[in-house]
Amino acid sequence: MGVVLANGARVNFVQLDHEDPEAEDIVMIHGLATNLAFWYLQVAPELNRDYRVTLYDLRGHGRSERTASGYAPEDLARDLEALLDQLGIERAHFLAHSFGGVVALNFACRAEERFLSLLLADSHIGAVREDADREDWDPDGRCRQILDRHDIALDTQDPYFGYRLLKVVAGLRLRGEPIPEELQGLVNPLSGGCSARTANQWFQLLDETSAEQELTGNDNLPLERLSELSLPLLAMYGEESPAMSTGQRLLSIWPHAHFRRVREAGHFFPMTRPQEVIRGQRALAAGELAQPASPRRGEQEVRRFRSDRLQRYQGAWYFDTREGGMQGPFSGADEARAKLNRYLADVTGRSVALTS
Amino acid sequence: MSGAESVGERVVREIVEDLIQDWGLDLEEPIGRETLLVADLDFASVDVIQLCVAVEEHYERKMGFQDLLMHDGSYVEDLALGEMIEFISKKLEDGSV
Repeated sequence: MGVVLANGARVNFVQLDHEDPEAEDIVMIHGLATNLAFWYLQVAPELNRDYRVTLYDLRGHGRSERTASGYAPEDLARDLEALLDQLGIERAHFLAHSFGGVVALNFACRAEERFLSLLLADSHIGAVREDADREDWDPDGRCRQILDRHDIALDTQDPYFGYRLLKVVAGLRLRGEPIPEELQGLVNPLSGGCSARTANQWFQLLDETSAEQELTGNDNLPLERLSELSLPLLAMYGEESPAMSTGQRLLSIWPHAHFRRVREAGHFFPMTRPQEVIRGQRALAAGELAQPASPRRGEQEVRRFRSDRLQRYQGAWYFDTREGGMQGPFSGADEARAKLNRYLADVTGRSVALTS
Repeated sequence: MSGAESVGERVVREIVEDLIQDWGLDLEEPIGRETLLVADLDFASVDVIQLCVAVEEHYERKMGFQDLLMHDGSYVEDLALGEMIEFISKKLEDGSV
């Protein structure tokens, strides 16, 4: 662990070394109102088998310094650049969640050559947040009902709904009021929502600095600029997340990127479903992500999200067939993956036989 | 705190005291095995991680703290220093990571 001085702010980081000094680097960037602990216990140790891992606290978060200003995504991208420079990291894989992805994309727009790859986990961008025509992310009103049950008067379609909900829950925590479990699940499963100190830190950040204005201001990510990025990219979005609308829009501007829907998951799936992120990162880095399935006869070629076909249910592993069935159980993910590959080879073989 | 303090206890206590030295906490009891990280010391998640990293740096080895801090895919709500000390002692004794 250590501290670097980045553009006038002390930035806290942790590095997990790799036994191979030639191992590639991966840098993980957390979202708003959390800290490097978001990655530390689950995703970081697993990916440390493959990479030297660097985790850090964004300015104003965790143990990094709270400064009067410097919270715009462009500024935070400059902090990231300074951190990398001081740690001697020339190029790296980047894994970024939520607002951390906005920071990573700002950095990519300035220094794409420093990216070996980017896994973008449920990041929402301003160009889509502000779009009045975006789809309703809560069409069956599940989230709305949870808010109603706890007398929380927030509009789920507010462009910054997630941010405002964070503030409400942090307020409950600060006042020592219990945070209902179903509300915690919407905000952050980290340490029971967040500790009183984290909540207090979040309020101080919003009250005593220009962070609120800067964090919800222009994120400097117009779609035209993003469309110019060509780095290896995997975008993963929770099926039940407000950010899904950004994923849908990015799908239309990044023909080279891979898109994964995390089924029955909300915004915080890197914590609740870390294995899916770990598998995604490994497949992205190894260039093993499957290209979009070729259209069946009579279907038009339409780009769409794919779901990971492996899933864990009641301790056993299964894979989904193309027809929507479930095959299994298998004792582990490796066995399920091997059976899936055999199944796909059979299907492809049959398809060739039918069309030849 | 009862009995003589072991080396492991002293290491963890000193790391904790270093972490909280400028927090201005008004502790009713001295830091010991019964001290709870969140309820008594107001630890945030990042402080727990900082403690884990400092312990790993002290012993120059990975401890696999995820086994201590996560149960059934969720973070534990709180942790007594004694639990952490016992976990570390066991790791050091059996050499497992």
